[in-house]
Amino acid sequence: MSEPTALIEVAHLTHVYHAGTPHEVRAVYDVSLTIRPAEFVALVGGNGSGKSTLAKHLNALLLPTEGRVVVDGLDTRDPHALWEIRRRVGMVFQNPDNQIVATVVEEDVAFGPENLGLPPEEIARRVEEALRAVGMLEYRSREPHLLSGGQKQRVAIAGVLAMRPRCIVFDEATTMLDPEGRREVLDTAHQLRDREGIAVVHITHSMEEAAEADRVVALHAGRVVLDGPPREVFREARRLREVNLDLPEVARLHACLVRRGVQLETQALHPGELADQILRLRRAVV
Amino acid sequence: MSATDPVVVCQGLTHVYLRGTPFEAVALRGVDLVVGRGECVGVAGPTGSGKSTLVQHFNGLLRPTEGSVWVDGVRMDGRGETVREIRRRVGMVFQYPEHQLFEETVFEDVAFGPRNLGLDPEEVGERVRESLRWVGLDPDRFGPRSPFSLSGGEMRRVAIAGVLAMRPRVLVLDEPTAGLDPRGRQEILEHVREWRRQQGLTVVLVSHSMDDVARLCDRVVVLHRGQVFLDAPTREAFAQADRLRSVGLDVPRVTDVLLRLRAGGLPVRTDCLTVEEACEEIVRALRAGGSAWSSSEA
Repeated sequence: MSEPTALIEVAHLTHVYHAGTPHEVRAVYDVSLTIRPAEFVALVGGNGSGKSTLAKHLNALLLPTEGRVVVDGLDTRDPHALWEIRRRVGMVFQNPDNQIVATVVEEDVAFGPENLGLPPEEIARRVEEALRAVGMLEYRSREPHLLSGGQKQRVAIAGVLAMRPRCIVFDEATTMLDPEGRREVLDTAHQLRDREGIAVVHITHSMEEAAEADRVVALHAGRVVLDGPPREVFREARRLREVNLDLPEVARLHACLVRRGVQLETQALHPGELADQILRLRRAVV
Repeated sequence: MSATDPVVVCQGLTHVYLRGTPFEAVALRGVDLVVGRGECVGVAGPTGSGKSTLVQHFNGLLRPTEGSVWVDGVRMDGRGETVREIRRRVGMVFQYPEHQLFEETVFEDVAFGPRNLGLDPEEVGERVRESLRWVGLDPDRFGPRSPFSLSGGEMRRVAIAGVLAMRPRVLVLDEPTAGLDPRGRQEILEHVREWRRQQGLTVVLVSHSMDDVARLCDRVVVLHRGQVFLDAPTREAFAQADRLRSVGLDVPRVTDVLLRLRAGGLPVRTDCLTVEEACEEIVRALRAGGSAWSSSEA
């Protein structure tokens, strides 16, 4: 990464739900993790691995039982920093139907900036910029409930963008969408990273989506079990299966071909990559 | 198979929501569809294509505006008695069915349906235990637990057990793997395959996931704007990548690789459905090319 400083620093984070009761559950245990500016991180893990608990610490929706989380120099345990932290780290959730509060798209996007007490012309400017950035400007006067799932999620992203965040956490924000909706949301996330330098933390069960990130962090039983570029993480087939995860289909096909003696180069994760490698191999020897 | 023993038949099925109001919306338009006994049919289509509206006719949750629906030889006419009979034959597992769990124990939750059928307690107990075993949960271990203490994948399987306890002949699953981790997803798919084999259950799988459809279904029906856009055996359907993509659907990643290889001049079949099958096919094609492509052949 060109910018070496940490945007979010998670240090020895432990989170216990219902501490001191018979229902005590330790969801995250001694996790240390650094998110850098403009980094695209996929956070993966089985159901109950602690992904969402960890993610909710990144903008102080949850506070550490032990350890600490520092966002852009602000400690999440400092109550005075709370609103500034939430402005800098926005969240988009799973269900497109329960994140929209207004009856017109642009009013929904304006909700956050209005709460910041900004002057009306500044709010209007931010709303327009945010809707343009997610490709929804032409829908500004529409009623949100008439939009598709992917469009609703993009409106939710615009609402976060209007706060000028440094990081957006997508908490399974693609899970309930059809393939087109997923593509819309993922493409938007990648563009925001590329063009605006916003860091993205994408929580997903899709290994295909994780393969598009710069870095994959896998959690199991509240601990980080793998952390690295997709090509490295998806080399650990056995370890991934042990923690209820898997390889992307293309990586499985790559592994199968290698087992059968086909001499492929680097680990392929995308259909085009694997096809190119196979075709090159053929051309080289003809 | 479908020609000889149809179990669900739709003829000219049209459904209009809020007919005669300014909000009138045509959700299905003249759909003809036959599902044969023991078949597994994948129903795919983008959001708003009419998938949910279609399958809600299979168990009498919706009545046709025009056309007709038969289930197991019974014509859906909207009478209470017919609806009850049809619901017993067609089990419906909705999206995120675990949100509908409500009893204090897993046993009680699965027992709810059979008890409403007026079965005696012994028979109810038997069905509950059997259904839990079908979804891979040990009845002695899981029966007494609270459903809310289980993992997401386990909760979903309890909800499905509740539907199976009604002993349906047709099982409709609406996005059964959404939100599950890869292991949970694998487990659900394996169980469905098992029920088909052991009980000859007919399965209708509503899904956006072409990977799931490829692993499970013999046939794919694609809906688009309320009409049948494509109805073909799974292998043939996925070979038509461009048509699928034109309505916002995907092909399985494995198919994508094969299509690219073919376009690049390697003569491979493109109708493989699993990673293993595709792997064999690529090895075969490379070998047939007679070139030194691996250490062993070099």
